[in-house]
Formats: sequence, C-alpha cells, structure tokens
Amino acid sequence: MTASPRFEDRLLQQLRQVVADRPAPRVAQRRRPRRTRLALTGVGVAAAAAAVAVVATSNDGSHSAYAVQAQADGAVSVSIHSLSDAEGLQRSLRSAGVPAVVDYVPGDASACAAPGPPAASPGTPGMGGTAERGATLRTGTAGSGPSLSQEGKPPPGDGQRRTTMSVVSTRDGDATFTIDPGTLKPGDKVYITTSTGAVSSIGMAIAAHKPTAACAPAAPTP
Amino acid sequence: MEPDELARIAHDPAAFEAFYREHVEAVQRFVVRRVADPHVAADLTADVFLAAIDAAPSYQSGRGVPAAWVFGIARHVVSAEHRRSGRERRARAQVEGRRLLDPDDVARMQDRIDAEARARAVYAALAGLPEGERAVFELVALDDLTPAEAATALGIRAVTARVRLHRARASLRGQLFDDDARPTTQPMEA
Repeated sequence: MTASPRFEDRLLQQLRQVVADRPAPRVAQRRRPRRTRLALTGVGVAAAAAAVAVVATSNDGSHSAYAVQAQADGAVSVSIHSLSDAEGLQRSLRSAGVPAVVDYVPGDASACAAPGPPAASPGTPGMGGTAERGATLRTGTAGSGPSLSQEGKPPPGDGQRRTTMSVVSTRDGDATFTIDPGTLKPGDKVYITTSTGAVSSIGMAIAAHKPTAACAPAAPTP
Repeated sequence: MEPDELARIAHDPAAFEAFYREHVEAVQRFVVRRVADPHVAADLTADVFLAAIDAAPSYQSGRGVPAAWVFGIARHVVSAEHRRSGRERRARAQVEGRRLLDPDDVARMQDRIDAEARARAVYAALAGLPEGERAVFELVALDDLTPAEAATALGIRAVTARVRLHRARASLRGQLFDDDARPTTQPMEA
C-alpha cells in the first residue's frame, strides 16, 4: 500500500460499519473440521425458533460426512458428502426437528430379507439411533435386521400414503436437499436412503412408512 | 486469508478488515484499468467491497482463490456501472466512495489512473467483443489472471475460458495488434 492511505482508511471504517450493522448470520460456520454439534439439543425446537442455526457435521477423515443447517424460515438443509455416518446424520436431523430415518444400506432385497433383532449387527456398536423415536437405523452392510423393525407394522393400505422423492440434487458431488419440518403431517417420517450405496443415488422421501418396497419393514420386532 | 474464512467477512468486521487490506490496492488498480475518473473510481472501489460483503456468505472454496473471486465481483460491478447512469447508482449506494476523497487522495488515484492508460485503451477496444469472450480477455490481458483463475472468477470451466480467450485474441488481432501504423486506439504511453 502507498504511503498515505487516507481514502483507504476512511473507506475501511465505513465498510466496517456496514459489516457491523448487518444482521447476525443465520449459519455461523459451514463444515467444521472436527465432529461438532452446536446449538439446539431439544427436538422440535428448531422448527419453532426462526433464525437459530443448527450446525451439525460429522467427520469421516478429511471431509465431513454431512452438514445439517437450520434456515431462518424453519426449513432444514442437508448436505451429504459421504455415506459414512448414517447414525450421526439421523441424530442431527432429529435434533433439528426432522423425524428422519437414515438408511444407507443399498435398497436391494437381499439386504433386507434377513430378520433379526434390530441392534444385533456386529461392528456397528454406535447404534444409538435404535431406540430413538422408535425407528431402527442400519449402518451395517447386510443382515442387520429389518430396516424399521420397531416402527410398528404399517396399517394395511397406508404404507405409501404420501411419498415425495427426488428433492435431492448433487452439487460438487454432495447430495443436498431441504426439508421443512413444518410441512410434515403427524406420523410422517423423512426417509433418506440410497439405492446403490453411492452418494449419487441418495433419495429423500416423506412418508408415514418406508416407501422402498424392496426394503419394506418385516414383521415388527418387540 | 484462507478461502474457508472468507464467508466471515460479511459479519465479522475484523475478518473484513483483513480481507480489505489484502485486496484494496488490487481492487483500485482493477477499477482504474476501466475508468479514468478518480471520483468514479472511488465510488466503484467502495461498491466492489460492498458487493463482496453481500456475496461472501455464499462463497465456496471451490469457486477459486479469494483474489480471483474478488476480481469476478469487481468486473461485475464495473460492467454494471457502464450499463447504467451514475445517478441511478448513487441513489442506492450505502457508502459513497467519492465523499471519502481528499485532494491528496484524488492525486494518488489520478496517479493510478495515469499508470493504467494503456490498459484502458485495451479495455475500450474490447467493446465489440461478445460478453463472454470479453470477460475472459479482460481478466487475463488487463488484470494478469491466468486463464484458469479467470475461469474461477467468472464461474465457468477452464476449457471454456481458454476457448473464449482464443476467439477474443483472434478477433482483436486486426484491431489492436496488427495495425502498427495507425492503431485503432491510441495508447498514451508505453
């Protein structure tokens, strides 16, 4: 910079004031390098509190597996970078008021056929989502039990009462979509599934029961 | 400033100051490669940073290094200035750069302007180019960005930038570079 930056200094002061006068950011940070969960812990609070940010991310090494952000209008935006932490994403979404069921097991029938206790899968010790609001989460590869064994048996004919798919778009290889919990009907759940086991195949569906026929819930497990 | 920090300039005055100090001279030089009036240059310098503040929350590191990102914004601001009247812009500006100038500042801005006369001659000669070609050529020929940086500044693919650059050079060759005896535009200094 040159010797007497007077204009530059005056301009800086004006612009600093502009920055200071701007409304507080709705989202403090995007992806953080470490696993963090900030702000809201109460389920359902996010939907009621506008302009409060939830930032939840998970780490699978060099990248965050996902990011969950509450928007000022009550909607919740989700960005999924990798399929490494279904449980964390499900928990984060529920913290943000979204009754989510995250299931990254590819939607082929063989992966859904084997009955068994919902949390019996070895190698997935962190299945804390199992008992949360009655849905089973699977992060294993196969044979970990029916996908929604604690959900209860769907009433006949109501299994696909309302399904909304293909809200997912991919940007920079991530799957991104936005959910507004305020538009969900009682009993609705938000299913986040993948048909091939790749991020590009992630689908989001709003339904009372899991919409994928191939992975329809087996008989309820107590 | 790291790309990850750039979004903070929209709401963190200290982060903004670091960003500003890093780029303010380059922005002023960018502007005077396109306008020759010190007061308009001061206005546009302020406008570029105001636009950067507005755009920062949506900045993503994949959009290129901050310097290229700023030039992309600056180009948009200056182009918009040329498309509308100054009076219209002044009515909306949050910060009027020209009101912050004292006589010494005007003299220093004029020095920048004088130093960039040749660049402005090139800039004026680009008026006939298609917008897409012109954008790439400006950033590369006037502002010393690489074609790849120009691509990120403009949000286009690098290969697209190279193609447009090639076309721009081809159509300008007759105007600017081959007519030694009577150049279409008259550079004021070497």
